[in-house]
Amino acid sequence: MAKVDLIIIGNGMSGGRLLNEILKRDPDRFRITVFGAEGCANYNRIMLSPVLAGEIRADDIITHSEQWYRDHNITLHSNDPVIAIDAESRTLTCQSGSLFSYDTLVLATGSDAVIPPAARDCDLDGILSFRNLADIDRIMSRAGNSRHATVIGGGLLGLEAAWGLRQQGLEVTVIHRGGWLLNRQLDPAAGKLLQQSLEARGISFRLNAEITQFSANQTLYSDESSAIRAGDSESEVHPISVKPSLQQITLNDGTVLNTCLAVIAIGITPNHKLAKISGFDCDRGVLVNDRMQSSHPNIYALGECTQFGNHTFGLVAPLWDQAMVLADQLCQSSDSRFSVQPCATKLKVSGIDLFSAGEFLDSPETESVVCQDTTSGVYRKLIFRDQILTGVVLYGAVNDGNWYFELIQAQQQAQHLAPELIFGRRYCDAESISRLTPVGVEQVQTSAPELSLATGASS
Amino acid sequence: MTTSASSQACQVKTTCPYCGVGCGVSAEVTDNRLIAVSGDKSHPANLGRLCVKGSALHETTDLQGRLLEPHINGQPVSWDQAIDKVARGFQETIAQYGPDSVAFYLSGQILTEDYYVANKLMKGFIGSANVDTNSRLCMSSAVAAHKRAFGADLVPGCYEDLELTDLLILVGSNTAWAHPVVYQRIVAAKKARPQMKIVVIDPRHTATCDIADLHLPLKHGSDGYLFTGLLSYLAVNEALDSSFINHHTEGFDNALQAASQCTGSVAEAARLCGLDETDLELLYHWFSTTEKVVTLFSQGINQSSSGVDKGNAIINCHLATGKIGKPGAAPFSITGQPNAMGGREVGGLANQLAAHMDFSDPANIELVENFWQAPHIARQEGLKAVDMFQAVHDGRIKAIWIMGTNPVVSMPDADFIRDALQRCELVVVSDCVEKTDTTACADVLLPATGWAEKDGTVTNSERVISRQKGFLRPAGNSRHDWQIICSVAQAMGYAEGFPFSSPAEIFIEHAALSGVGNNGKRFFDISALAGLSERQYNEMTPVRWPQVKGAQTNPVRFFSDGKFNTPSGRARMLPVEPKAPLNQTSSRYPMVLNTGRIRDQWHTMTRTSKAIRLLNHIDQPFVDLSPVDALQYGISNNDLIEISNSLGRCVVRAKVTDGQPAGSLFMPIHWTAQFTSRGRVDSLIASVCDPIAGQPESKHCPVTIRKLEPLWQGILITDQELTDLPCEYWCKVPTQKGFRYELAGLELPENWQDWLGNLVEIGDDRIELNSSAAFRLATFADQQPELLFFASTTAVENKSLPNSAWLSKQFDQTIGSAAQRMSLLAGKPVDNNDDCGAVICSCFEVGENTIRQAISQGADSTDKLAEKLKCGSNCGSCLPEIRALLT
Repeated sequence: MAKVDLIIIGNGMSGGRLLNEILKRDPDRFRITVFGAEGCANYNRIMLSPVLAGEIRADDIITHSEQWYRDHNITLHSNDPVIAIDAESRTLTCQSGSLFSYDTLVLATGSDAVIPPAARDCDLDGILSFRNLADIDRIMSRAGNSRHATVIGGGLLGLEAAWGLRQQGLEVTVIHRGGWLLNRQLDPAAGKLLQQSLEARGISFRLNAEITQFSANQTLYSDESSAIRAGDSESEVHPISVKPSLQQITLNDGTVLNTCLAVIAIGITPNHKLAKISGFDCDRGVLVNDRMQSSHPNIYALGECTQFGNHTFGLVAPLWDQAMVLADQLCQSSDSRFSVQPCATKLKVSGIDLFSAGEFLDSPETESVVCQDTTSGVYRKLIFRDQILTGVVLYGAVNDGNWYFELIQAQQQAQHLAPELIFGRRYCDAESISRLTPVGVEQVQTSAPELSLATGASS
Repeated sequence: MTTSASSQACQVKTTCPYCGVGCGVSAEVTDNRLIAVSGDKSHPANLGRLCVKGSALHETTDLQGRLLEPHINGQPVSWDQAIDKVARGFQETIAQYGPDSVAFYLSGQILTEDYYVANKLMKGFIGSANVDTNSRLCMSSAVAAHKRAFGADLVPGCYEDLELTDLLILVGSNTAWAHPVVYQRIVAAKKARPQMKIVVIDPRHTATCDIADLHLPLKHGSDGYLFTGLLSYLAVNEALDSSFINHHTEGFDNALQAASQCTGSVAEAARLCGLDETDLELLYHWFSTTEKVVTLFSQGINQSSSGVDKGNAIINCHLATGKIGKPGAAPFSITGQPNAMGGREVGGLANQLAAHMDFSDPANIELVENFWQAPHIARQEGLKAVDMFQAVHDGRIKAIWIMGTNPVVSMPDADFIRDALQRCELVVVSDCVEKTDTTACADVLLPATGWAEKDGTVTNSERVISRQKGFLRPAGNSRHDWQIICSVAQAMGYAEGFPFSSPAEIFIEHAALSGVGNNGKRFFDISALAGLSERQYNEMTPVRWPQVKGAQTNPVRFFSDGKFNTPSGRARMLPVEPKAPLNQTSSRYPMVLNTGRIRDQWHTMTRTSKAIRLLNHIDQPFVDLSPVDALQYGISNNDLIEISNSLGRCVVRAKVTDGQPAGSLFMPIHWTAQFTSRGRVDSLIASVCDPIAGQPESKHCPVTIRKLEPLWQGILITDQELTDLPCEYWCKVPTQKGFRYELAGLELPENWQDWLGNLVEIGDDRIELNSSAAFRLATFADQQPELLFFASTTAVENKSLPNSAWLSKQFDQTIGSAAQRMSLLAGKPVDNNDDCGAVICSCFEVGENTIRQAISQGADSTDKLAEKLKCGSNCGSCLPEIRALLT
């Protein structure tokens, strides 16, 4: 039987995962071609910050080496982005003009960094994003000549970048629009603890702050390095040019900070440019159904470029689910369907364990139990609504986070277990726990807890 | 005592300072420290045994909480200033208002020598008989019954009789807890001779009932009927010893007539006692058919508005059957305190003069006056305890000196006593403890030596005089009670009557007085001991009185010859018409409150609370109630209960027990305002007394109870000693390193932090838990817990407070790791076997220890580990660390 031509556009984490899932199911079914923009092997994007911090080398995070593609007879095209798809003729065109035809096509183009308006409107050297290994190279090269760096965004990615830069020996200031760090995952108290901990590691913070202006001082900063314009999409190649260098940023309260390196990490947005110009149904991302099908026959989409219902994706676990569903579809191994599972956030910032699931802010309808250790820096909070555990924030000691996550999903009345509940499962009366075990807990357990690192998964 | 040998360990034989059993104690002393104690095998009272309190004596002699300096109005002063203040205060009061405007209130805890000089000063030199003692609360009914029946305060038998008897009746005595070593002797005797019968007569089913062949749970206060019923039964069943009655007693006919009138039949007696007739008849049958019977009675008989009659009702039965003065046969009053008997011998009660002489015979007064060369001999009885404090309250007594006792806790209507002392112009308190409910009322505080420092003699319940030895140096600037009294006497101008420089000199004078003009007139005669040298006194081994000078032998038991200490030589049988307790229940106060001791505490806990293990048995005040009442009032174990009447209000924890009869309650006497918010049971007891003995009816008090509904309960552990905590219920429980406070409140503090901060300093190194239902806080200094606080609004119905004992133990531990701190706040031990180690895989919460274990079991690749533990199979961030563990 003739092999089916499968083309995957995007060589990020979800694309890589899809390859694994397909090979696991039916390694001989397809003749596979992969287009990647980054010009290298596939790597674990979640690990960019330790690379930036110098804790590990770039090689350490490779998941699929070029040799791996060769070993599995997969054709990898790097440095030649696809610029158009013709669904009618089942062909696609690359920047180089090469034409490829496919039987089945998968879009896994990932996401782009969100760029604040002030950065979009200027054209300065020294404003960078933190999205891929190339960004790391640019940041490192810029950092080598800087004493100070500014990170815009006090979310997960921003803090990882800040920590990495700090590890490089820079003075780092984080500009954050929220009132506390990780304000999408943590309550103010935990955010404050995280801030104190990072401050103790030499990072400064400006909260409730936005940048109104990036400005240059050409007399001080002439061309000193390759200049990359902020907000570059990796699918484009920019000529090296000489531009004015970033020298100052101005905050909305009028404060002016001297800085020559700004790393933008305020969020991501699905990269659906190719799909859009090729006439696919798009909203914020490439619209897919629960079989990961796009609006065009034989064309699927996967990962951070997709939009499923109202959801877009930045966490790794739903991407893994998508890869499994899509592999099932492509290999016709089963008719599994994708659905959005509840997410818990687990992460490590500069060695501090964090866990957050469900609600994390108090409200008049909720009751909370809070445990805090001033010396060891542990903070744990459970939130109940009508006796039901609806949220958990763990800082410093994240034991039993998954169990709380299960309890939240199970929607059993658990408040009577407080306050012991907050210390973890082994502090609770076993009998009371057994009575809590909800129906369908198996299902919840098999769903892997989500990892939140808002890096682009593929492009 | 020689100080040169102090660095070497030595064994000192002394006597236990607690109950009236008077056990010999062997003390091991090194370097002015008491290292260990054991029972003195050669002491006749205990033959080597010690109870749990006695065994912990060496844990009670530290200086924590001791009164070390004299104080006037709260300020430390010199001894000269303090003595001068007391002497002038008494002199001026006497000069202005006469000798009866002053009083001494003594204690069954002080030594015979202390008693002697106090009694001599008041009755011979000040000229009043206003000397009374806490023994009034304990055995004065028995004293009066003895005097009425035997002509003198004489305990006929000895402890051996309890072992030799064939029928032992324990009435109004929880011997197992109140006199543990005597109880142990009884247990051993019963084991050796199972045919020996033991009957317990007590409304409560106490621990003493464990060895009883028969327990008669009679109606509160109905003991009199039981024994008049017995007397009429003996007559009806011809079980009387007519010969003994005819030759050695008087008043039999009247006694029997009175008994027959009120309890002419077993049925009637059973009805009045609320007992099963068959059970009662069994006791009567046993009594009538057993030759050797001992009736051991204690506070259940004595603490009654008709306690003297009850004592005589018991004695009547023994006299009517001749069961007295023989081995294994006697009525036996057992005393509560270590030297109640010594006080009685000295005459240290208001209705006694000295050495078993009272004010009824002018010749006695003259004898004592001459012997003492007394300038102002008292010629009439003084005020007994209850009347004495009444006189303090209404201003007739303007200066009072309290020695070694805590009447603000132990007297009936205790709040009235506190009020009386607060009104009194001059309150002098000698004590070895700084903070008691009574020292709080003192104008002058005099630091007295405590047990192990004091030196002198005590007499136990079987008339055995033993040495209590001073083998530790007096704490701080404390002095012996006899020294303090002599100093005051000298300062008052009575130096010639108080030239004593040692307890031996005092004892010898006391012994001599007992023999003066005696010639067999007074059975209390220890004149043989008047010739002791200082050294012989110091080396004196336990000796039972009488010790008559020149006598060939001294009897072990009294009345073996049928001779009594009455003018006629015959024992008097008294017509007893039993009376119900004076205050009866009503719809307003429907429950009867009974009071008593618990096993492991002594009196107001000033000393026993220092031995931490003695709080393991019972650590908080409580009220026993029956399951029937618990059901009616909706009360469960450990509920907070208010017990109140028109006099006062107590708040303690409920103990529901089958041993407590319905309609009645029992509360322990030990807890004071130093230890708990509202636990002074005597604040509820009315000042209702026996008209003859003046002993209060502390075993019968109408009250009402109510379950309190605390909004929160808590535990606080700190090294700071606190009182008056701002909540409805608090109880201080000393621990090894500090104090645990059990708490409950009727109002929720607005802010726990503030509430706690007003009590103790809160450190910065802390872990805390906050929720609407709970607040927990632990603070540390150098990894040692400094403060532990747990409060819960749901503690009442579940286990949301940690185990107190476990928590107390944690307070003494080093708490280093974050996990240990968390475990402490969780209030539960952390199981180290569960410790998975530092989390490596965050996604699946897989710890280093778990991974290492899996590797050692053969999972030698990341894939195998992922298969087994899932670790590294989600985001993969931890794979480098896992790989590092694999290499």
